[in-house]
Amino acid sequence: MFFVLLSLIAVSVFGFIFPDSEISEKENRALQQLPIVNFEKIKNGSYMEEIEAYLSDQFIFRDEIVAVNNFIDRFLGRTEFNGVYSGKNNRLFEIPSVYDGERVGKAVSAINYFSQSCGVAHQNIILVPNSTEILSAELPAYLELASQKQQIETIYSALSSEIFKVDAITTLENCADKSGLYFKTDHHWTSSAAYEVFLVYAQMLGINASELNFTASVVSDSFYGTLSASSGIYEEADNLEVIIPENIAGTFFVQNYDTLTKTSSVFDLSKLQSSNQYDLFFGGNFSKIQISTKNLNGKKLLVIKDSYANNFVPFLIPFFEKIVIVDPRYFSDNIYDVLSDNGFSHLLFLYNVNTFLEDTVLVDMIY
Amino acid sequence: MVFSSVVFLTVFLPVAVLIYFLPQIFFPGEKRKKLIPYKNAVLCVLSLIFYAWGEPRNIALMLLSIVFNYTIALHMKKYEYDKEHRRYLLIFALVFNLGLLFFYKYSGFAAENIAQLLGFTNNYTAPLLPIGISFYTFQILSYVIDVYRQRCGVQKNILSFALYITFFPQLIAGPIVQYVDIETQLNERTEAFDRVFNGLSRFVVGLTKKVILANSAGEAYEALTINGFSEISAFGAWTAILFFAFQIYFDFSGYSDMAIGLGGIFGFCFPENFRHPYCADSITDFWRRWHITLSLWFRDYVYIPLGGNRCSVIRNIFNLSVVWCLTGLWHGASWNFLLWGIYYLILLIAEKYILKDIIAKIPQIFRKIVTFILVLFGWVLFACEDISVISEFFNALFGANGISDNHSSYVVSSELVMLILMCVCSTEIFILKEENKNKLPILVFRAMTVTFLLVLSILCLVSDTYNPFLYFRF
Repeated sequence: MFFVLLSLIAVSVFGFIFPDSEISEKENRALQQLPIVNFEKIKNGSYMEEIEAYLSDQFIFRDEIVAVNNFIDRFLGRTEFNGVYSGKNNRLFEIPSVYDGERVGKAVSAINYFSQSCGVAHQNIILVPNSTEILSAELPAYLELASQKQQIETIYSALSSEIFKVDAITTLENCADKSGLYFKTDHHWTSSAAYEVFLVYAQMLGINASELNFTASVVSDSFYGTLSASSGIYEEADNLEVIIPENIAGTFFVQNYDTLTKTSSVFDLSKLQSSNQYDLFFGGNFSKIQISTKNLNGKKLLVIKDSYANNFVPFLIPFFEKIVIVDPRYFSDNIYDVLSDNGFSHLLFLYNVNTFLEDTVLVDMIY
Repeated sequence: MVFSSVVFLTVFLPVAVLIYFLPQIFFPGEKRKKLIPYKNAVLCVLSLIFYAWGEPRNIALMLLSIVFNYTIALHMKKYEYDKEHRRYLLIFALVFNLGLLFFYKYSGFAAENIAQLLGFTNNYTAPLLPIGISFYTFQILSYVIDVYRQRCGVQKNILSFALYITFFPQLIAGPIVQYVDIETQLNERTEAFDRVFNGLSRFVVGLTKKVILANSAGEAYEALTINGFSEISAFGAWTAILFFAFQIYFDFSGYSDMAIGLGGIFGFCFPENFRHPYCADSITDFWRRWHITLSLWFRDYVYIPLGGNRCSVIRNIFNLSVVWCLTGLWHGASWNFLLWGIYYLILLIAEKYILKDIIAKIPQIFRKIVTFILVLFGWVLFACEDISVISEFFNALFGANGISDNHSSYVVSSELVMLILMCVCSTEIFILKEENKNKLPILVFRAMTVTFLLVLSILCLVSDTYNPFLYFRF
């Protein structure tokens, strides 16, 4: 009958015997260690908070406990897990960003200002809808979300007519196999979604993309992305597929200005062993990356982007002499220096709607 | 510290039980009684650690209160035959204890309203409320008043007195134990095997109520009312107030269960605090089932001293008014709580003086339904600290914003199983008959259920701290 009490004691004894972990792979963070006794910390209560964090962080079978709890929650019909919706067919969705008209207005006028002052001839923008919009049929029942189609329309119509808008949403909506356009466990679009939108963009640029062959290959069948990490739900792994133009090997090199490395590939295959395999594309997000090719046609492209561009840019390599990719979230230099150093002929903004709605750094970079 | 935390469950409680019971090995049989001073000291120290864990800065205030009231009571004993003198001491104690309560709990509210009334700008910043002050002040008052009335003896052992005030099971959220109820237990109590088991089961049931039911209900209420009340549909408003009712019931009664269970482990017998209040068949009945120890406290220390009901109707209504205004304000320093108290005052007077005969003729099932709906309306007043949204909430309940909306359907559909579970758990179907409680198969079943619920609660508690850091997100 003392079983209950015994089990409590057992748990705490096991907890002490069991060696503490430094980090959690699943949560991708350092775990709380046993705090050192410190009078000041006891007085302000932070010592006690650290003890509580220590006990729950180092709780025996922590990862398994979270998994079981998630299983029970889903069994009960719950659909929201730490900022992630768990929908039909094991699909996870990022909870969409809220549309803040004032913030969007600032971003739009910044882009218009940049459009006017940058002096680049061909300007385009691609706002990519998120999976909640395209795959709304797989959302949890009764869940009603703001229409990203309307949001994109509002933003596009407020942008200067100098900037040509790529209608990514219609393209993706008209795809036959929509479920393959987004990962089930990650908030990104897949390479095939990016490819579909690339075809539209290429047409707008007057590029004949059909002259080229593209090869698709699955590089991982065990991809669990950010949405799995956030929610703790690891139900059905995604395939990670890369699509690249044929015969481009050896025609270009990639310079990363953060890691100060030069490579001849857009892929960092070592990331397939890491906790986020999506970093495969360019090794992740960096402030500035430059791709220089042997195709000396004078076409130079500046891409201002978020992570949705990482699997999109490789398609463009055969058509440009130089591609400079700037991620405003990490970029702290002067963007106008980049402009004057390179003399771009093309400019592309590529964002997914969620990041665009939350972004505040693009404005800072432009002004 | 709170009961529903990993540190309490896996460190504090096991360690407390070990330190408390371990010396018993060396004191078999009758000799165990000699351990009482040791046991009281252990519980006292543990209780202070428990209290200081969350709020180290308020421990001094608590110790001051203990020493002050202990001394007052000793003086009252000295003037055993001088009622006049005792009365002065009592007034002094009332001013001190209620003064502290007023200063910490109500001074901000008072300053704000006085400033508004006189047209000042209010620069007063109220002190932070020490945890449990409403509860332990009432316990202290019950002691001092009863010593004054000579309804109980004087506690000469300061450790025993400190234990009565600080005992960690009931320190933070009740039940409000009157000193007379526990006087003898402080010095004579038996901890028996079956009481420890019953105590543990009761504790785990309370823990489950809090961690699984109350927290889910709270999240559902938050989710439903996230956009305020001006757009919520009737369906959303009704389910929201239902979830609120379940949140407050399971939270509060869960804490009481945990307190009563923990008390039982250490040999104490605390009074019951909740008896399935949502099954009440009248408002009067509801208040015999809801937060019973608070109602008893107000009955014994306010209502009866004022004359109770052995007086004219007018005087009785006055007495009731005092009690219910105080009951309202006890729950929080805000107008809506006062309104909530007055709401019950009106209902109770109506039941007592006007509807008494009519109610008796209505079938019980209808009485229960009407009572529950009236209680839900009460929770609307309780839930809206901002008085101005109360009318919005009522409008929504009566369909001002349409019958249903997708957001509410979404929230309710994902919490539907829990909602059904909450409904079932707030009825009386799980009550075991006293004679069946200790039959072996039932005992085994209870032990298994308790273990299962404990595992489930810990699962929930640990999972709540799941907090992935997504540097690659941005």
